[in-house]
Amino acid sequence: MTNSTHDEMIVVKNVNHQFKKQAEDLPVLKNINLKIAKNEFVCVIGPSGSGKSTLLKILAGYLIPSSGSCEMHGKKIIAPDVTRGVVFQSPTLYPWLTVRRNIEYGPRIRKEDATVIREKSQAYIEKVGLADFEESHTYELSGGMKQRVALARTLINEPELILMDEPFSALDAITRMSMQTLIRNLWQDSQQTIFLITHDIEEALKLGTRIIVMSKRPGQIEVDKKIDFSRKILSDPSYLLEEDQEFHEHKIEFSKLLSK
Amino acid sequence: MEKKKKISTRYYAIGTWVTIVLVWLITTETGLISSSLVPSPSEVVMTFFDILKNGYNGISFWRHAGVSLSRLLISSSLALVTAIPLGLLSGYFVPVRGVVDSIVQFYRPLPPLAYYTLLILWLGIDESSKLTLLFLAAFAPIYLACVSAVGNINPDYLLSAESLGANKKDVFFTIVLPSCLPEIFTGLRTAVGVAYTTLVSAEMIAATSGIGWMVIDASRYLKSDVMFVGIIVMGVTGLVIDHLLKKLEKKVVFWKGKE
Repeated sequence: MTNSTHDEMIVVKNVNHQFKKQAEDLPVLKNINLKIAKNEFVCVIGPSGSGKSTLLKILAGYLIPSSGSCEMHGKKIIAPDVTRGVVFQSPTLYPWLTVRRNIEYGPRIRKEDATVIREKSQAYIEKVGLADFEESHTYELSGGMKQRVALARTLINEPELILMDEPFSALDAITRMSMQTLIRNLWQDSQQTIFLITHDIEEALKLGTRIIVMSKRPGQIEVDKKIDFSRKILSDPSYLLEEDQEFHEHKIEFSKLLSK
Repeated sequence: MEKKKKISTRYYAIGTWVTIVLVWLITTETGLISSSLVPSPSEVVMTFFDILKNGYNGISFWRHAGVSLSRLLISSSLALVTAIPLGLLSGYFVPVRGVVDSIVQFYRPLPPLAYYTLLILWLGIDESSKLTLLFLAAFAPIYLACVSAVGNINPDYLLSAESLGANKKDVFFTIVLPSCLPEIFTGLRTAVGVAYTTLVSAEMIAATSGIGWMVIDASRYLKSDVMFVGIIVMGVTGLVIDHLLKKLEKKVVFWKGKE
């Protein structure tokens, strides 16, 4: 066992990763050390090629790092499993299943009781605002609705950690805003832990409790900072983010970092 | 837009066939072409009803058609149940692909009649050699479609399923199989088409019934009207079979092309 304590759900230690490219290795991640506690909302920003997605894949269990270790509750992550849900950039809904069946995929695989599955899926369909669309086919939905289905399909499994790789980047501005509100509220309600990759500094500031900035290739953690705008938004209905001077200062600071 | 396009191709198709029949009618009824070479439409229609009523060579029309169709159906079904698992396995495991692929790629371009003579030598002149021939013809397209389908699966489908709690077996039955269905169906339609054309070759050698045999037998006695009936029946049957498969495809893989 390692020295992880209770509030450290994820511990990443000295992770390096290279992609094999013909004769030479292409380093993508360099010396990553990271701890994620329960109920944190970690937002990762960084230029393309900074290894953000690679880090997410390692956390999901899709990739094993070239060196170093990645643990969840003191156990090595070696394969994907249901405790870590993943929401992809483009929703990978199964077109042969209806919206409801897509959402019920996890519980059905685990052969849970049929009435329980039905109740759960109904609850999540309503939570993500898809009532009346449950019997639709996925190809009939708009981009934002598809991403809602993908979200519900992950949430129904009640994963301890949700990993999201630029989930809203393909959506238009208005849809993106409503999705951000949705995800913030879901995070608040379920006390979940979220690891979200984005290229949008404002999105990271609006949602996260912590921002991680990654450097250009090979990706290293450049800044790791706690923020509290999303808690302010949630606790005070009269709070206006746009009027918060601190928000703008942060935005400028991170923009400078990224354009370096 | 799409509907408009469909209608206009249909009009052109109808126009083409009306012209063909008209030319046929004019050239034969006026005696421009001898009826022993090209029978007139009326002769063909009369022969058709005659065969329908009295059969050909003492065997009823439905028996001829039934024999041919059952050969097609049995061999295609056999190909389907063997080619899908083997094709999916080949798509998954490189060693399996190395073995099966090389064999399939070797025999696929061969003219069926070349190895049919061998099959007759080994299996005799009865049904088994014909079914084997058609089976081999139908196997290749379905098998190849499965191999390519596995290669084309969206890798994120597999990863997301695993993150939703699916094990390897779940992934195979709930993700791999349905993902491959659209391509399998395309393969199946090609397979039935290939098997259907091979069927006629099979019935040309060592057969005593079937639509293909009827055409060959009629040619020996220069009964061009019977040959015409046989060919038209084969053409129309082929179209009907493909149409039915298309309808089935639309129902089973309703999401095809809509993602």
